[in-house]
Amino acid sequence: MINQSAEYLKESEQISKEQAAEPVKTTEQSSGQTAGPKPGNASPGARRYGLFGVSAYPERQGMEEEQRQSMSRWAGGVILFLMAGVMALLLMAGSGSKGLTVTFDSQGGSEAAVQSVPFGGTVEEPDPVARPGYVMKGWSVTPDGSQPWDFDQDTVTEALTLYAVWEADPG
Amino acid sequence: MKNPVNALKQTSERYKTLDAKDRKKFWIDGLLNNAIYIILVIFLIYTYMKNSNIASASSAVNLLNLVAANLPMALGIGGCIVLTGTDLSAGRVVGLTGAISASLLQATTYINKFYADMGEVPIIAVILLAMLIGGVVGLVNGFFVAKFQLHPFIVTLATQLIVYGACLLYYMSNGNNGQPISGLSDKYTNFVKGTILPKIGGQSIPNYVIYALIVLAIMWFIWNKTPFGKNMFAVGSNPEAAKVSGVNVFLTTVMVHTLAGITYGYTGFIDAARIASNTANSGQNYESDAIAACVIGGVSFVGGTGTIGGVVLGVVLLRIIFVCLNYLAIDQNLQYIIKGAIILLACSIDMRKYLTKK
Repeated sequence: MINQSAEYLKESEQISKEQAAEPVKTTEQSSGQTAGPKPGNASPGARRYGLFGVSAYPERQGMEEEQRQSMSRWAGGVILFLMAGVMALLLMAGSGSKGLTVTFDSQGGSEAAVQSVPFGGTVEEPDPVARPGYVMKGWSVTPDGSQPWDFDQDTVTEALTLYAVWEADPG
Repeated sequence: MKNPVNALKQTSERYKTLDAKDRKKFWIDGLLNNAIYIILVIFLIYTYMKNSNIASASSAVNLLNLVAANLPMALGIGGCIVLTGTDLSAGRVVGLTGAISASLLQATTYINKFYADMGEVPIIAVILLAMLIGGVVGLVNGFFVAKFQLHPFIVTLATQLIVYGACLLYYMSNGNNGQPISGLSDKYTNFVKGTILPKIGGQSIPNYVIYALIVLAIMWFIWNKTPFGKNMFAVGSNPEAAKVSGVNVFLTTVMVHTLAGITYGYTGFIDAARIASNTANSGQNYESDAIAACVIGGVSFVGGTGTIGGVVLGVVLLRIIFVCLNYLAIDQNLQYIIKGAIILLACSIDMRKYLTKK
């Protein structure tokens, strides 16, 4: 699949070399349209400029060997520097992070302690909270109790507050 | 495909023949060219030490979902990068098409409905509309790039602003006053997030993973099996030569950008349901992730090089790094810095490979 296109490219480069050997109007015109490569730098048929008259990368063909080596050494240094930087950031931030905070809003009942849960972890069910005249129905992500929290199954992916759901005690 | 065991054997054979100086070069090259992979392994080990939840079925499925959500867009931008260009409008197009998809597919019972009097709209019409809008933006990009040989950086920067403005106006229109668009219809949510696949380790896999696979297959076919795909690589590698050998450079460039736009429209449609609550900032900076993934995956800014497999690999690698950052509960602000550093790193590796290539 890739080989096919590679062959195709070779073919097209071949054609351009042939064309460049004998000056043809089309190449003349198009190189005039773009910013115009410096004469004598690029070998015939070599890629001169990108599609847009500006190349994202420097022209390899027209570059002195010394300059190329110096640039590649710089690139190597930058790679090592960025690698070290990313690792340092990771270690620094990773050692400081305490996980995601899960707070409990007992909605009128007794307090439950805040928990710090790692991403993807489960919340430990807090000690039962009490509210006179009410029966605890469970904990929920929403204050109205529409999304009950399953302490065995549900995992934490962001800091959240769990709300106690109460039902009036008939007795 | 190369057999990895044989490749390893060949490398070790070659290594034996090297002298001391070349061996040193071999290790340095190995370290620098594989910097991303080394970082990835260290990230994974460190994250596992800190939070062992990462080695779970839910984390694997989460990774799969994120890859599926980000892949189509990266495949689209990959084409622009093959042409030595780029596309900065991607994220905002996702925002706009997402807003339009969400507003058309709200539940009929929802109180703050964007189009209050409108009945149910067929999902297929909305997905086509989203892709059409994305495609039109891409067409505009492609026209300016191909006709005036403007650098896509400038063109797509302009369309990015235009699309963002249109998106903000859309949120302000119909009395919505910039409120998030939510309350999506069950049909739409099920179409995207519902599941028809069997569960893996108790985790359900959403449908958009299947759609991403379909998009992947289509893009693979376009890149590798159609004349258009071959022309794309020819134009990216040497536009002069391509022109001489009869390739329509104008049409190819326009088509690459249009195709990219279509993938953003598709991503907008999927993302609106995936995220469920859409604001004008939805899709912001998506292009940076996609460009980073392409560069990591070996779609070089040199032009004319890149494979679909590489883009997939790049998206997976980048997502694993971000999943690690999530599992470490690292501050969102710091994640941007790490993301930027990784883009620079990937470009430096690419540049170094390009310079040292014989």
